[in-house]
Amino acid sequence: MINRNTWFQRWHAIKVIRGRYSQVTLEHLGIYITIAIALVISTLAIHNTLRFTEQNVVFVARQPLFLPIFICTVLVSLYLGAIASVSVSRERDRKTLEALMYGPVDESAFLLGIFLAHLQIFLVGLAFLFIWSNLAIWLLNLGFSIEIYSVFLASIVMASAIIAFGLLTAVWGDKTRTALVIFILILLFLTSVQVADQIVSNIVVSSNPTSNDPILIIRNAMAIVTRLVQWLSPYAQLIQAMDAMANQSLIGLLGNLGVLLAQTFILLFGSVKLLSIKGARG
Amino acid sequence: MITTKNLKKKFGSFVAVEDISLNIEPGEIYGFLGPNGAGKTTTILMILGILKPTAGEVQIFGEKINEKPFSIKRRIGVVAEYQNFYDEMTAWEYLMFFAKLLDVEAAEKRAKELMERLKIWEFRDVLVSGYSSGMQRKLGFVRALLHKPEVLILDEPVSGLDPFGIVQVREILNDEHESGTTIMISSHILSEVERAADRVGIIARGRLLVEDSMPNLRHIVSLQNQIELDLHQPEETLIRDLSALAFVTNVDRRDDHLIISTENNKDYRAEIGSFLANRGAVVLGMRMIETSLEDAFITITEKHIRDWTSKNIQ
Repeated sequence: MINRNTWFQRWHAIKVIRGRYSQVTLEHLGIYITIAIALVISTLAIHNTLRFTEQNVVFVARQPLFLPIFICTVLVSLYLGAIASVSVSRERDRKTLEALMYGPVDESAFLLGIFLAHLQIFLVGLAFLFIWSNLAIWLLNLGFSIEIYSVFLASIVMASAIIAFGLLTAVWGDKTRTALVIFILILLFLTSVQVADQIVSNIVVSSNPTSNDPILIIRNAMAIVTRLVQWLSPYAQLIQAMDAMANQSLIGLLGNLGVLLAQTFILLFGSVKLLSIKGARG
Repeated sequence: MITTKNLKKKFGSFVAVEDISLNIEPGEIYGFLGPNGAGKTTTILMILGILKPTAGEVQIFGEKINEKPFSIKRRIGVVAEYQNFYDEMTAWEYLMFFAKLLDVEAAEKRAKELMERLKIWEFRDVLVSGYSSGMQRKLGFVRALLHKPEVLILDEPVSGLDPFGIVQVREILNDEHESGTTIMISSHILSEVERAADRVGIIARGRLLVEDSMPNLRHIVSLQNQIELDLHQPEETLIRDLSALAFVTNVDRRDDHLIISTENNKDYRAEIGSFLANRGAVVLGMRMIETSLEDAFITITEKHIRDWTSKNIQ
């Protein structure tokens, strides 16, 4: 029987581990470089959007800040997911996890501590993005939209799913390099499916297509895979959440947030269970 | 304090630990011995909840470790065989991290006191990666003792320590023992265990062969006692007559130095002294050779290995 006291003691361990890992990540240049690169790319993205709007004599661009915010949050969450993965697998590689577990730490406290540390750092990144987006609104005289804050909120849930995914790959992959390769390959796969779907959709089909037309078969197959990926990929969920916000669909937004939260929970639960099975020694 | 019931651990088809039932009483020092690969570390890892037993259970302070891992582990200190530190931290940062984790009150004072006793205080701001293996072991001791644990589990505690370090650690362990700490020591340095342990458990091939106090262990393995005798120019006839005594089973002569083996577990020094005085022999020295823990360990484990081999070959 797990009593209430156990949860307080677990929370204490989570807080201490979170503190150590946020400090370690914030003491390294990597996060600042990533945020800087993300903001530069976001600036270029908004510059291009505005130039396109101007060149095409379109005076109203719907939510011009959505794309830069998406790019920025994707880059920062990717970095943090990878770093979270490295943090866990390095603890196992160096066998410091075992030493940690001699003390009042269990698998869930360890993984949740690292999860919260990286989520906390994502919030730091988001603070920079918040300043950047307000500067952009002010300097470029863009219309202020409350939906931007909803995008921020959705990006937090998306980042939590990516970080949780990083933890799962770390526990799954055992060694640091393997964990990182799994993390990158799966995310690349999810992204490439969506890109491939776009390419296949743009291929011109003959004027009188039959049901045996190979392009149609590939297109239909890709549509099924893409639909599945759109459920699985946190980035696809964020895009859908942004579309829902642009269309002012609260139910759509809540649905996407719900899926992202469920993904986070399943990934975290899976990581803890897998680490319990594999043990601190691997 | 620590109880294991029919503890078993299998890795695939390999049985690392089989049916280990230990009972370590509060306040005692328990020596846990066994040859390499006997299953000592596996047993300790199961006691600590790091490895999950295939069968059996572990209770510490009367509670199952998997049910109350946090409250139990806060009362235990561990010095592992391999320390595994965070190389990027200084010794002080490392200790303060664990002090925070263990919620230690006045952690700085306690850490300073222990580091001073182990002579590593002046190296507190050095990165752990710069520590020698002996210093790292001492740092492991400080970490294990920071929160004044009620139970100390030590796996090869003095390995890598120089003689000064061994004395420093021994003094600290004595103090901890005097203040009522229960200590479980797994070590291959048998003299250390023999010096300190109230009771000893010997394990081989994953099975607990014997668990008893040191005097009882000696009794178990002592089929015969030995007396060491130094005589001034002993004559051959004297040695022959000595060998003929009813309780003497063997006399081994090396110049003027004799090793007399006697049957059963009795002290025959008075009888031998009286016999030699009657014969007018000049006795320069006489002492009992006690069965050491090493003798007991070798006798018990070798017998087990012999039995196991003959059983499995048949």
